Amino acid sequence: MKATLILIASLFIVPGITYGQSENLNRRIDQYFLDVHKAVPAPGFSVVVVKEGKVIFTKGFGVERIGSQKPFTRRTSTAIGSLTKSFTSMAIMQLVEQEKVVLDDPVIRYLPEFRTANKNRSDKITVRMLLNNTSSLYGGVSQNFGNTDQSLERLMVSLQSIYLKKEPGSSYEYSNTAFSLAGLIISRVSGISYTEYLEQYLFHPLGMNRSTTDPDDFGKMQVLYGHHLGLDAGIPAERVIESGEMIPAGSMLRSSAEDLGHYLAVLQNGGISENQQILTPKSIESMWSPQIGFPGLSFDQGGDGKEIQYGLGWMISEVEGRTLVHHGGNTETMSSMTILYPEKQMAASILFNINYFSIDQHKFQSEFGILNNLFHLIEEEEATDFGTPRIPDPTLNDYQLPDSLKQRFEGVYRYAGSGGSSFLQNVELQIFPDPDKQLEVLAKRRKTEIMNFTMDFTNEVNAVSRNIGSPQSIHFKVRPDGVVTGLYFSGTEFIKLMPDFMKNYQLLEVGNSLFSFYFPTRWEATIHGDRFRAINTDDPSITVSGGQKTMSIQEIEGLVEEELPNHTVSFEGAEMTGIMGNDLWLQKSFLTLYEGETYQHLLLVNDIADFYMLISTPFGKLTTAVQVVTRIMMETFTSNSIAS
Amino acid sequence: MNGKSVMKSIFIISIANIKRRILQSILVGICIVLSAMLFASTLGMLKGINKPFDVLYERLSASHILLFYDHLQEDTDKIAGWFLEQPEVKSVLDYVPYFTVQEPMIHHGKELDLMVNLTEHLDKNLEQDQIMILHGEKKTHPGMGEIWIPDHLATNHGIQIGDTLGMPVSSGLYPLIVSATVVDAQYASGLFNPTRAWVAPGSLTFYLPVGQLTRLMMGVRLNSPHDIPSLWARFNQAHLYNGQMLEYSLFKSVFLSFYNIISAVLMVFSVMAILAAIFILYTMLSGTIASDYRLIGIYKAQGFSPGNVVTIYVLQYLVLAVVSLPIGILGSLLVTNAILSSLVKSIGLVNLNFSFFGPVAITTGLFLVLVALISFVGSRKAGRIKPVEAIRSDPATGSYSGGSFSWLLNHLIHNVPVFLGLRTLLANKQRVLYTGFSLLLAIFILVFSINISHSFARLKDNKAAWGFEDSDIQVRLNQKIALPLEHETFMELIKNEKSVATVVPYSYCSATIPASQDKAMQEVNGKVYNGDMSDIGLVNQTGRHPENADEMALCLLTAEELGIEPGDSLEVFLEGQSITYHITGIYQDISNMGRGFRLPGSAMKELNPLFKPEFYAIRLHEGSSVENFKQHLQEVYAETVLIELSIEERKAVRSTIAGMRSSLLLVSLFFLSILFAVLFNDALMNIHEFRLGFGIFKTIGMTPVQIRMSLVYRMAVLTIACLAVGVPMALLLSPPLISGITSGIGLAEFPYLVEVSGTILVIPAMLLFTGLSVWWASGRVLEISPKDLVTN
Repeated sequence: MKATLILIASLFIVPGITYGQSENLNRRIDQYFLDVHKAVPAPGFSVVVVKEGKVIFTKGFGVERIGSQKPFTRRTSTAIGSLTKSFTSMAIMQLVEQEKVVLDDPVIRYLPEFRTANKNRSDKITVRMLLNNTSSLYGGVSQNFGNTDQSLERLMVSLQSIYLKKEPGSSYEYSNTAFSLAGLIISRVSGISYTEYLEQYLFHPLGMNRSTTDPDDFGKMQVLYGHHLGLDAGIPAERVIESGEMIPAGSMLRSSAEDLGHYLAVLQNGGISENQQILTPKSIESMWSPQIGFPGLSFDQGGDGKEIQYGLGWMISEVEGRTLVHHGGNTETMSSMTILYPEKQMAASILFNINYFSIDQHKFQSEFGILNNLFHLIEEEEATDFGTPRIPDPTLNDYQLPDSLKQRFEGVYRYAGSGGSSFLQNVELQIFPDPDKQLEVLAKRRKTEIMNFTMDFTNEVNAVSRNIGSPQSIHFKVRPDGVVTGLYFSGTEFIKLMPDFMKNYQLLEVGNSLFSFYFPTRWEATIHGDRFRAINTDDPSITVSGGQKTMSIQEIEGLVEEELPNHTVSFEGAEMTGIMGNDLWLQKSFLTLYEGETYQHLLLVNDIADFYMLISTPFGKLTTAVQVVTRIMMETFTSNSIAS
Repeated sequence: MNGKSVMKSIFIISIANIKRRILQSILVGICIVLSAMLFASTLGMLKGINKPFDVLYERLSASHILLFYDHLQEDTDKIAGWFLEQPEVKSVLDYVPYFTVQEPMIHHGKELDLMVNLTEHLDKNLEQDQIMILHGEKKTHPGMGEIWIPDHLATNHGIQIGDTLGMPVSSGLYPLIVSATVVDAQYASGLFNPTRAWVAPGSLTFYLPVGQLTRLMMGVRLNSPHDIPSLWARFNQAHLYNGQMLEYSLFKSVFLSFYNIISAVLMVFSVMAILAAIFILYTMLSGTIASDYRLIGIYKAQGFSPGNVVTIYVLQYLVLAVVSLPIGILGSLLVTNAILSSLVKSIGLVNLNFSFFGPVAITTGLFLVLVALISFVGSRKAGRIKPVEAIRSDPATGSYSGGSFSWLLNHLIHNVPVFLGLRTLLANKQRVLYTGFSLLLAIFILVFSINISHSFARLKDNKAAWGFEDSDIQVRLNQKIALPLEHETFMELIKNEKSVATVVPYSYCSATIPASQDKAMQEVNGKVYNGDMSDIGLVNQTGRHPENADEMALCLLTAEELGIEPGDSLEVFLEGQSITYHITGIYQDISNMGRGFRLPGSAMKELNPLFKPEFYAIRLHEGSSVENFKQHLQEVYAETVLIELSIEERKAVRSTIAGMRSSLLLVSLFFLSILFAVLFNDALMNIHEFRLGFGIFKTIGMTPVQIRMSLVYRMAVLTIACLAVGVPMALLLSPPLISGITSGIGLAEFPYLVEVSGTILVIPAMLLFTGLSVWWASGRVLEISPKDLVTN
């Protein structure tokens, strides 16, 4: 099978194919993408090609979702990921032109409260540094700040806890955080939220009516949720948690090929859209001017070892003698690639309903390679193998795990609780033998399947994942007596669950099975309609109550009045968000006084499901009670019921 | 004469001898006092340092075993239940929530260099794993929003009660007010990372997302810590435990590591002091017998047996010892108490009484036996003196009776004080020997301390000898970015860098050494090098580096524990496979306390074909600037490469080295103060001996300054002689001496570096020190009145 896949990949990388000059360009482009569609494992994608300021081709290929016949069209909205950074940069440049923002001014001029733990360094960060990835602010945000207008503010406050290890401006470090701060500057300076600004000053004037960052529009626009990586195809995904604090960096923006065509055309037309100057050519030139370099693809990886430059929200590369301006973007289940070829007034975007960035590039041509060869096609040049690794997949091997050793790996492995890839947090891996007696792995986040692969063992304890994605390393923790105790998957630790692990938990269903979750067997629960109340039989002073109710995390007083009559709130903890299972939970703890005694409480609210839980204990017992009941409970919270 | 009257006579003669040679007796006494004081202090330290930790452990009912685990992975009730059923177990403390703060906490805008396990202080902590409050309000638990931190954290980072520590949480820095500094038995040492701090019960949910609150701690308190190995082995048979475990011996060894090294150094010095005392006593006794030659003949002629004569001297020295020993022991009690009190104070113990009976008894017994033996051996020749020969012959010539006074006067031309100094120096060889030895000891200790301190401080110039990679920069590749560099690409790029001389990739790995008949199974951490280990300076104590896939080098203590030498084989469980390696070499490495192994990349590649190194040790060409290259790395490789802190940049290492250096400074000061006492005393005795001569010199016109200067010159000559012997001796003996001490922590060959300027500086410093000491003491010369002397 490995050999077959390499052949498929070679369809795109064999140099020497020259596209006939007499054929109609549009037809040739169409045929090109039809071939691409046949060869790549993406269920569907859309493309737009712009030349000399005009859209010359735009079309969708394949289906929106595996299992559905609905075609992927040029108007289908998908997540464009980090291409959003170019929109953020454009918005800042608009404000620069209006003299509301100066690129080389420190960020604190616009966000006076902004600081990191070492203020002397963060004070030096300029707006330009946010846009050219030299701010030294770390790459991604591990916390989630909810999906409200306050998310960006919360993110900024959280930066007080980080310590800048490098001098701002000294070197390149790709930073989603920096673009989020840039988004907050846009919001502060313009007086409207970042999402409103995009709508008002970019999407609307550019006629991008299938583009939005507002989740309320997602249903109306029927945006896609994409696919996870499966054995030989995608796995349809549910909506994943998207974080509001990362919108300016690319977590939320949905757009279509057709809309991106408008965007690219404006960039090619010197910033003019239907006689309206959206941005001056000078600003566009600034965005596309190299600011700082970083290592590009090596020869082995399919590149030429040349540096990639970062401008303001755009990357600039010298590829095969041409200067290309580009930016890719990917979310957990979707991705995009956009390349502009300014010299020839060409530009193109491709939008996938799978995270094509994670596709195995030894088997399938890269997004960049697909668009690069599109330009060759238009220029009637030979296709090249740029972006396709020139060395064989180094993980290929001929080791065969003895059948006698396979059984010890079977079972359920749970995320160890800290560290590792954020994608794998709260994931459960099930390892089982497939019909061919190969060990297969199903990765689930609560009940949602997020990945499926077989394990190709390279020795008795190491394996690599095999599916349509890039191979990931798996290392099993095995004791000398042969007992498997856990594994590391792509650097993230998982613990093998003992078979009797769930014996201490019982399934509790609330509201005609509307909500169900596991609860410790030693607790007694009573259900009244869509509410429940449970007490710890070992210590009846510890209780959990909750049910379906729309509630704000700030409504502590009201809740106390209803659930804890005669209690007085005396202390409130930090308001936080955290992901458990597939859900984002808001949490806040507080103290109350009642008849001279102090009690601790934790309020957990699931906004999407309109569900809350209140855990109450005498002073000192809250964390222990929370540990016993909460995590299992919330991880087993049924997503189907939320959707309903 | 009957036996009783003989014994009486012997006693009277012995006492008379003491009185007759009062100065010599005082010298013997001081010699015994000082060496006994040093020896007893060392014994006291060695005995005492264990006590505070054990007392602390007992008073705080600290757990001997601490388990750290994810509550979803382990069944707390089952584990706690199992332990409680075991006869060795006294009590179990379970369900203690804690959270390891992943990012450094912030104090006054700066990062704390120790990670912190924030642990809830529960009611159960009032029974087991109690916390002692050193500073701050004494209360049952920290209040909401408060934190109790270990005293070492407060001291090292200048944290005061009332200060705010910022805890990095999603909403920024959550403020925790330091309301107390405490002593926590298991985490009493700052060498533990992470350390532990305490917060209000149930409070972690107030600032941490519940999804992250998965960790629990369990403490198991035993009847005796000796039961840990067998209990732990049984536990592992009964449970598939995946968490971490820390235990008593580790806590204790980390806490005491510093004091143990200092005690070992003191022990070596005290043994040297005893040897010196033996030498001085024996030499003095020989001189005494020579000068008592005729007298001994008279004793024998009067009927004293050889045994009686020997008994006179043995008794004489024993009497001196009996008088001196209590003084020395009393001094040692004061010194030991002072040191231990500071230790005890640092961990908050009060009313801690140390029993020094053992050290006192051992010191007393040892010194009495030694003195008896020395005097017995030394005076045997007195017993053999024939009375007739002795009475007929002249008494042995006194060493200071010779010489011509007129010779001295003839030479009083230009350098009167110098000549006078030389004259007085040669006058009493025994005292010169004694003072010289004290000088020699102080010079040795100064040179030793300076160079050992320097060797610690210059760790970065000698890293390989400590077991670290001798590289200028260590980096690793950032895999958490969109376009990470592959190992092969990075190697290609970095090797072409002009400044780079060598790159050796390496990685960490862990192997299990199976249980054998008399040894439990053990987990050992090692390193895998994808390149020539010699290129980054790594060396072996014996044998060579492993080069082939079936070869391995072992770290010193691991080899010692397993009884393995180069040429032997060792079976290990690595990468899920049992493999037998040929041991090619034994090396030392302090980073893992002397335990571990080294493998060549080929060995790991055979076990795991996909193995790739994590770190890169880079050596630059001579003259290349490390800082410039770091800057270059950041500019060119940007986010793909992460520069690691080098070993010498780590604060924990720096503070340990600083501690070691200050201790050596203290030891040096201690010996210098003893030397001062000796010099002071020597000068006084010299003045007393020569008071007549000095009186006469005054009458013939010498000024007191000239006389004092003569004493200074006397000591300068002696100091120069001692420096000539002492400095080379210290340079020669220090390496084996310190290596003997550090072999217990994996350094069989201490990486000794000579501080040339410091060592040279010892010469003028000692001359100045001795000169000033004698000058000060010689003020007594001013009291000499020629008139009184002539009258006398």
